[in-house]
Amino acid sequence: MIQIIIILVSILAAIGLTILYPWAGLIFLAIILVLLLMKMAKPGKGGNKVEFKMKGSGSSGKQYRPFAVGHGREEGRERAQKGWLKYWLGKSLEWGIVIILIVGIIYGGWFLITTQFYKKGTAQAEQLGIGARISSLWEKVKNPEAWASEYYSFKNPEATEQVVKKGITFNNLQSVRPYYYNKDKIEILGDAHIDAIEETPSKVVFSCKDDENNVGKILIYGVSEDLQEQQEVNVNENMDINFKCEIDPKENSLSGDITQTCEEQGGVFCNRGDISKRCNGEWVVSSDFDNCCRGSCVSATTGEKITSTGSELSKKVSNNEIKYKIVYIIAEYKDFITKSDLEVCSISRQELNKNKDLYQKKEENAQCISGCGLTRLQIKTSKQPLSEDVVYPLIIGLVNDADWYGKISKVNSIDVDIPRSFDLKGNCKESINNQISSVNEQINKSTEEKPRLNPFQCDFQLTDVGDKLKCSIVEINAKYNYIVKGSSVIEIVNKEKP
Amino acid sequence: MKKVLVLLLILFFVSGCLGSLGNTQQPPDVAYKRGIDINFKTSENQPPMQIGVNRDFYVSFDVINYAKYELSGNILIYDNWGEEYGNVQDGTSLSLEGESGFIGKKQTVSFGPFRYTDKKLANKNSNIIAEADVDNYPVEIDSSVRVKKSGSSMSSNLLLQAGMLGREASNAPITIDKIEVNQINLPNTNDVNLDLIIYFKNYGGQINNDDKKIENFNIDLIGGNSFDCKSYNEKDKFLVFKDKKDATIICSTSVDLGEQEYRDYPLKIKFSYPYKISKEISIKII
Repeated sequence: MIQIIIILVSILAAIGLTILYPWAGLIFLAIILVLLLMKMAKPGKGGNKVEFKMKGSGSSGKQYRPFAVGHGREEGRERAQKGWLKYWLGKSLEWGIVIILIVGIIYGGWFLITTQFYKKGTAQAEQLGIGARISSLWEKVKNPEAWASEYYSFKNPEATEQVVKKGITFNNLQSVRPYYYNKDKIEILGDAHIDAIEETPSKVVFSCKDDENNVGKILIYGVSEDLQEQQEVNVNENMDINFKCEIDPKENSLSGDITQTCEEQGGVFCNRGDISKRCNGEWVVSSDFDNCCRGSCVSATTGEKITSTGSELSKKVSNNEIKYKIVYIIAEYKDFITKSDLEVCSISRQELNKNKDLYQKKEENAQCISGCGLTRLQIKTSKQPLSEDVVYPLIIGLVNDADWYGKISKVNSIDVDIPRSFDLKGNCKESINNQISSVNEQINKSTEEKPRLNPFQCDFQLTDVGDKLKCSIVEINAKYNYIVKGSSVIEIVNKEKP
Repeated sequence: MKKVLVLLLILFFVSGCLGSLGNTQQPPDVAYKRGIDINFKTSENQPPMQIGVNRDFYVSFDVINYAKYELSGNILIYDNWGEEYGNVQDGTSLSLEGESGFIGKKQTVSFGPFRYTDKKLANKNSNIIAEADVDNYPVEIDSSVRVKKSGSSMSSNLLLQAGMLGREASNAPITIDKIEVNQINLPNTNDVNLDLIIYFKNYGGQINNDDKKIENFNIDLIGGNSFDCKSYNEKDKFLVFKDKKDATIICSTSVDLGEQEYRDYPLKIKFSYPYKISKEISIKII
């Protein structure tokens, strides 16, 4: 009987707690439920059998002993069966639940007494918000998703720009012959699919070369009948093209002084037959070995500088009969224009100080207007809305898409079109031109596959800011070259054709 | 054990039923339309939900006054774009008749034509805001308080809910939600100390001054002494609604019941405030 009273009081306390702090109350209620279910489900096990018996049930079974897990020899046997750690963890859990139960009863009881809601009648109860809280609880039982929205600060998903990737993909690059002798004309066939960027007709120039900078001529089929060595393709719609790349080593001679060693010419040994290496400079002829790179020899994958001694590697390669050469097919978008804009909203400082909530209202992502798909043109400024008394940065980022095939090969221009109320500080145009030179230098020097280009920045201040929130549009046009490479590895028999 | 579980479940659901029971006892606030309302005439394409650049369009809306007094002020219309884009911006004075029923007096206001002129706005949204500024929104509440000689020094509580404060309290956008009356009978005298805890609530819109403050507040217990009023919480400024939706004040006075066992005192409360309400509609520029 006592146990039933304890349970009923606990449940009432849980309900009281639920009214005041729904989460805590429900957790408490859940613990009681779990506890009851555990007691119901606990299987009989010899002397440790625990049963919940209603008094007068007529059964000869054992009386309910709360949390009884055994005594004396039985307890020792259980501890031995379960293991020391498991046994005490179980014990701690049980007593933890008991403590929570007691605290819940005390807290719930305290709530009932201190609020005196049972004394003051319905008017007072209403004033305390009891009815409303219970009603609110019931509403949440009916709409469980309301819990999440109330108890967790649910952040709106970041409105990132969803740009469909466009551009060129090379397929089926293959050599016409299985291997070539030294100084043979190399021929590679392949096809490419071009996803047009509808609103931005673009010009793509195709070319090919090998890893020794021997430039080939490319013949393109499927676009026009006039074949050129360096093909320009106007891309207005999606298209598939076939091409052939021919590289004749006889037409490509390396620079350098054959009487000087590689080192004397400022070069290092870099094994041209090894596709894992790349010359970050130019190939030159030298008196000591063929594989002289004027610049630095870097790992093709990591960009890390390789400092192997040339003589050992030179011997190793010269003894090999087969070496490998990489042929690159290059498609370069020339003067491609991407246009993005950013809504910039402003309000007077006086109004902004009155209403700080305005800060949360504005979405601050740039939107791509045209030429979207190859890169991302980002525009950022300070947290909006802006006001009249601060100089703000206007940051423009031209970003290589990490998971797309190509990369920016040269930035040609960045044009900033600002609203009338913007007062650009300093000479923004000149400053951006300087930054473009610096970024192009960064592109040329970088050994990374897709370098993260430094952003461009101008500062501005707002004039004509009113007491109402007003927005304007900052539009940026970025003109750049974008390169997509395909490659094929061919085998070269390291001797002249018999 | 099963019985206990059944009992537990019954208790759980009874708690839910109690909640809905409590709800029905609350004053039916939602039944009242409050203050001023603005309804855009989108059904008449004013404004249209989509508008092309360099196309004319109009904006019309009904302004509805639910107060029984005539209200005057201004009506403004504006959007979120600057002038260089050909924005929406206009305004006129407002004079709204009062009404004695519950439907409200309606006045239709039209503005236009407007035209967005910059192609940069293509695919952007325009948020058009209509704002009604009322110079003075008056609220007058007539009620009564029964003061009893209880013969003891114990305080007694009486609650005047919104429904008991008259239609004006229920119709005003920023109004008294309820009044809690506490009386303390001073021993061996006929004097009774009376504390009125007055709960104000903002149901929408805002007080149109910098502090969002009700400046003209007057409370009078006819036949009693004058009230001394202050904020219920010392840290709060008196009847200032800045950054919050409610305010509570406490007004104290004392009355002499003489030889009477009880007496009903008429309670008159008057206050007014400059009031502003705005409605926003978003249209797509194509």
